[in-house]
Amino acid sequence: MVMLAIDTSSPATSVAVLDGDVLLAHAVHIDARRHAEVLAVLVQEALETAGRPRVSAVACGVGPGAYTGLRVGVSSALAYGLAWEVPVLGVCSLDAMALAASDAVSGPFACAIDARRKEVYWAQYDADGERVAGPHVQQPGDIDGEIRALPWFGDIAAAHLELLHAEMADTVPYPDARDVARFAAHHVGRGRAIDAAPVLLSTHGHDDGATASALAGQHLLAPLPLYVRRPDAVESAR
Amino acid sequence: MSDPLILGIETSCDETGVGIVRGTTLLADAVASSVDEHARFGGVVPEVASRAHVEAMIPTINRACAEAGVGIHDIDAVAVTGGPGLAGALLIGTATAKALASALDVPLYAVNHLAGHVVVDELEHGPLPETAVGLLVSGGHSSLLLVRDDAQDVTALGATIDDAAGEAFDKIARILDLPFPGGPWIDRAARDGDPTAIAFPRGLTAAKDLAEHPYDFSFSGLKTAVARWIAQQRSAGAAMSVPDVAASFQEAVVDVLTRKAIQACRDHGVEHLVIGGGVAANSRLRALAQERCEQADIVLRIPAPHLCTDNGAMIAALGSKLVRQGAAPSPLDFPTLSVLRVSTVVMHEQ
Ligand SMILES: [Zn+2]
Repeated sequence: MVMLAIDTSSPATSVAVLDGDVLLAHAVHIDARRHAEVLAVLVQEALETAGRPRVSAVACGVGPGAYTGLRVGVSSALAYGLAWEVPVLGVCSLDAMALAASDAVSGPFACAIDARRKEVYWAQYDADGERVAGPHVQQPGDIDGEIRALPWFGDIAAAHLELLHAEMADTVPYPDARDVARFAAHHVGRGRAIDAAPVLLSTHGHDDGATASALAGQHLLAPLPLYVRRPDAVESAR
Repeated sequence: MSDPLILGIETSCDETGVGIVRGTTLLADAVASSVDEHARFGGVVPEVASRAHVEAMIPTINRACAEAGVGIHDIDAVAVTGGPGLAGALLIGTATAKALASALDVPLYAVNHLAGHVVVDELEHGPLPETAVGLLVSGGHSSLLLVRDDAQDVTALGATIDDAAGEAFDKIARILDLPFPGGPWIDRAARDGDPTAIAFPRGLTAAKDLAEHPYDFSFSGLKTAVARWIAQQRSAGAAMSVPDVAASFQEAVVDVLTRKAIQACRDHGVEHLVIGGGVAANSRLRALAQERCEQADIVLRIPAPHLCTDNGAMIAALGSKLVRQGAAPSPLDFPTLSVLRVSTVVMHEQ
């Protein structure tokens, strides 16, 4: 099964084409403000490199992350799925990081993505790389001390060395489409049917823990952005 | 051989629009609006609009295809609003269009939203003349365009220097405790009112302003004058006729809009005026424009209300015109420009 995967939840725009265990093409472009300009070009080039295979599923990192990037990634993934008439799978971008991180550590750990406003999106994983808490959005200093003492991954964790145990953080700086593809392929392979009912999340949810509970034990998600926060808008006083 | 089948995508504000056009024939015009979600905020909230676009995009494309009785693989080219508009909202349309065009292996045209508002009238009233003046009035724009050379050459003659006309309608409606969006409610209230009851100011129409801003608009002073007048009546405990206020305010807006549009036609020797944008649905604007165009021997073209508001059909119509003219398509890496100049009808190099 050939899978096209994309992730745009961080400053990186990444694209991968995976056939079973074989990575046919992989590209990463780092520029937080140009996801929309580079994504379609990277996909076209990756498919070319992969020898124009017939794609049978699209996997997309759905965040959490910067909203604009998430929306570019999700909208694009959905459009590829529509045009090729194939399923589109959502993967929590932190889970994709965790898959890469679990190769680097043997015990429990945590992954983080920049949430701006001095906050991070984060999730905690057990020794097998299974998510046990999150995704949440918090200031690093507000995260439980025991969790802060775990090994952290993600470039934004490395930026908070004084608060987070993040010596190895840069080994997995961002979510990568290669890991989104591996993660999705693994869970599809474990019989988690790709047409199984996805978790339906209110995209207007804020971090009252609803996102984390809805995602508990879930691997393949609906292809919709994980905002975690509510939109900042003030209701008019009329 | 029949004309190519064009899919148009529009996401510049709060409407997710998908239209399908063959030649100048409209086959589908599907629109999903998030306006109800904005009502409680009293105006369009960009983040709320963007979230809604993501969820509505694919269902709206599917609805348009079903309405047109075509499959997604029948599409010969994709057109999308490249700008101007809300940056975050535009990106959902352009990301979708890029992926769709590249996966279907068809050309992609990133087009100017404003030109779309003018060209859409071809779906209703047939081909446009070589040259026309476009008056665009909505919550997002108030501008006068000179459209020459079969829509290949578009020049901005003027625009609002402060609020858009539609914004003024929304704000006055709010002061009068009418619902959002305010345009249709003001229009309705004004039908029972006297447009000459209160003399509200006509922005940028004094001789000195006309010399400097012949085709520009200003509605901020009018808005303030109406708000002040209402506040004075209320604090004096005086009786106030909402229909009279609505009619007098509306008259001040449409008087300036039509006067300047007719002047633009005269000054440039143009015999056709096209009015587009949500405010084009206003009954007084239509009536006054018709009356003044007849006096000035100008042909007035106003598309049906559903084609005046933001929609995908207008983008498909412009895409279709560009394809018929053999225009070069846009590259996959075109940027989304919230301030796209009106002279850029189709986007090419960065
Ligand atoms: Zn518009």
